[in-house]
Amino acid sequence: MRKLNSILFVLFACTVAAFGQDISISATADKTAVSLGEQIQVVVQLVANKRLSGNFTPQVPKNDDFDVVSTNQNQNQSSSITLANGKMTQTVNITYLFYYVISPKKTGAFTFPALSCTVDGATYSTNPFAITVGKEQAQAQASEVSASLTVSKKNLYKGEQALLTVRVAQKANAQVQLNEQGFGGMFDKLEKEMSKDFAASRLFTQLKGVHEVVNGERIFSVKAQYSLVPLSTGLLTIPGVPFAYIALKQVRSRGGDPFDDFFGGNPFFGGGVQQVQRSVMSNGLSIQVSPLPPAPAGFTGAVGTFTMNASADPRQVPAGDPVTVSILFKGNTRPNSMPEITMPQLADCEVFPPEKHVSVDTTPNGIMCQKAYKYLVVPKQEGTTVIPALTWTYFDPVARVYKTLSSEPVTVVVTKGKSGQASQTRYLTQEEIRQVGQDIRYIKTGVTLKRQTDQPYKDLVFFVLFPLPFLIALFSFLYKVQSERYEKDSSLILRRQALRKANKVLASVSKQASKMPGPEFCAKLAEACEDFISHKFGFAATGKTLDEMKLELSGRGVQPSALELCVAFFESLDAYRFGMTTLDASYRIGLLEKAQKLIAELEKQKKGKPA
Amino acid sequence: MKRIVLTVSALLVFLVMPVRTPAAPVNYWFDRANALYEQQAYDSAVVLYGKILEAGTTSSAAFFNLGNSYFRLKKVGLALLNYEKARQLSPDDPDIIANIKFANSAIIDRLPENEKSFAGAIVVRLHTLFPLQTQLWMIVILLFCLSILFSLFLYTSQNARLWIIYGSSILFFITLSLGISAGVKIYSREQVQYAIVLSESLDAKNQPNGNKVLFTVHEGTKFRVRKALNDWVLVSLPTGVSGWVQVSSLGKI
Repeated sequence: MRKLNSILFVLFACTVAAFGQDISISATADKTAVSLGEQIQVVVQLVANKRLSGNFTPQVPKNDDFDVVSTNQNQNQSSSITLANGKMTQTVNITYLFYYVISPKKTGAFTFPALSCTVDGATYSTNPFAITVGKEQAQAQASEVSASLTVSKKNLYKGEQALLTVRVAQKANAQVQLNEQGFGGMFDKLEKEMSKDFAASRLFTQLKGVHEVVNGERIFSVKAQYSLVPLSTGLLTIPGVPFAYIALKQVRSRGGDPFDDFFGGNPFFGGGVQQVQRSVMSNGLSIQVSPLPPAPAGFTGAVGTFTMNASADPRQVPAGDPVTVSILFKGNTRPNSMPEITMPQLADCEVFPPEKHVSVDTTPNGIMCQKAYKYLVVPKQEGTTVIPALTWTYFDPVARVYKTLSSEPVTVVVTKGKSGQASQTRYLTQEEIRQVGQDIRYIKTGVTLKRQTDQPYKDLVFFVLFPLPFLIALFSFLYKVQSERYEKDSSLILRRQALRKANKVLASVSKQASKMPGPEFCAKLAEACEDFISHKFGFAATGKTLDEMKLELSGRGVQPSALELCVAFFESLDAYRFGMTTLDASYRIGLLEKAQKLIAELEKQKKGKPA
Repeated sequence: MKRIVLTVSALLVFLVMPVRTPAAPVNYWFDRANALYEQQAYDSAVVLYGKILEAGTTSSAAFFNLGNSYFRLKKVGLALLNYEKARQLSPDDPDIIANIKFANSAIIDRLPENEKSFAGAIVVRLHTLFPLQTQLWMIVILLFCLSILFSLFLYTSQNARLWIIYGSSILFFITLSLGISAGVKIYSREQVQYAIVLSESLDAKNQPNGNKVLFTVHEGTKFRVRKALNDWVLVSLPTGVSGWVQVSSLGKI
């Protein structure tokens, strides 16, 4: 592992002590000797004892020696606590890392410049260091992956479509990985370069690789095509674009460490293969674009090869019936380079706005655009309607001349329309209408006017009537359910009606209390209470002794408070029966109140609510 | 109990009973307007029919006669507008249907009618067989019948229940069909708005206050109103072509 670490060349570590602030900056590179086409990663490390604000990213100056392929940055924080002489000190370090991947442009030696940054007005710099770029190894590596740009035609007219092919190839046995980021980066760069002078459209959606044999060597290649339409004239250039890929390097330890020898050299344990980011440049292209010759009248700027076709269906119709006129217009250019087709004015015909359909096909020969128009034409007069030839001028880059495209005229035979509709004038006078034997129907007379509405559903009657059937059904259902419950449990009715009956008896007794003889008064009260207890609690209370009744009631969960009321009431009755007291008016009222209280308490108890 | 039954009955009678009666002058104006129409004083007849409608008596007869007056004045757009309003109130009136057909033959624009299949034509015929109000009454009656059958079902024997299920199924199917049809009609009345061109010709633009003319329609053409924006509405023809037109040139049905 020590050996592996030693592969990374530490070129320079320069620490600049900041006066008044603890800031240090250093730059390191993973290697100082590379081949052309190889990349070097330079890491600038800035360590500060506080969080820095503002823009302090070191900038790499422009130069002729290398390109900066990519930049990135990261930061982390560390803290340490020191205990010295019983005093605790905490140190916080924030490390800012700036990564630069550079690619040398030429062989030889060059100096990587000092990188500077400014923090709080003070400037901190790294020291420059030397890098050597070799040739032989570079050629060997360039051949393992190659990128190229080709164009189908190098001499074009402005507006003419050409095909640009991007090809990335790798040797079948090369230890490299081509990934999506590499292709994406290349295409983005290429499209950006092309957008200055060309209208470029991708002719691919997915990339597919093919295996092929070139000069006896097996190669895996990926092709992508663009449709290219020059927008300006002169010698237009497309510069070379980089393609980034990953080279897989086999790493074997030779340090004499048996552990490293076994695990370091075995891919199974990882660390056997090292991934190195590389890139390869494609070739650039120069395309000569000529201006178009002086254009004739009616030329709208379309360059390419075009066809146009017009047809009508049906070819024979009665007047007043529609005919569909279809115009199909095809060409090898972009949709906005193709003009809009408009139907000329047709005498005695009504032409409705067209239904338009534009489709664009990406073929191996470039973009093919198709515009289809469908006009609805209604001939109004019997006879022959001719849809004239549609003409249109374009430039043919193959023949190098302007050409006029013309569709065939379409003839539609119009027969007599239905009931003379087609020849009817806009307003018919009463006289004219009578002549054809028709007129509007006469006004309504002898009618008693009633206010009518076209929204009868907003009438209150319907709002009331609509829910009624549902309520009837619901009521029937609930009544049925209740009836069945009563049928199953006959005591349920008695239980439900017990309180009402008891109250009724007590009310009638109360009304006649003063007139009623004493024994009858007591008998009525006892009967009301006993009946209530019998119906409510489901046992025959009449004829039971007070103790038996208490036992039954307590067995049915009646609380002692209610039992006491029960005992008090029946003992009061017994007091009169056994002549211990006289039944005067106040005693009667007291008895009545006791009976009412007893019934109310027992009702509450039955319902499960404590008194 | 007797009191409750009496109260409910009285309430029902009160609700069902027609409580609105037109004011007397309305019928007088109507007779007077008809007399003016017979005397070919169509302008004066228009004023009187308009007065009836302004008084709130939205009657199909008033709209129909007003439409006839406009037709005689060669204002086909206004004639069609009033015929269409009359048709909304009395959809199955043959006089109204005939006059709409006749007035439509006198307008410039001819729009293709959608061809219906045999089954489609039957469905449309059934859908338009009854006016909405009749349909709603039929639904109410059928629902009452169904609720009574349901109550009978609860209290009858097994054999009778089978017949009740058969009968209820048929009634339920009829109720459901009528309900769907009524629902479609109500939706159409609430959500779909039609208008008729009242000016001699009208250019439909690509946008409100737009410069590009998409198509031109003429007086009497009926189209659907889809959207409104200030003084402009987005309309569409049965062919599906849409454009923005000024609302002042339209009469909304």
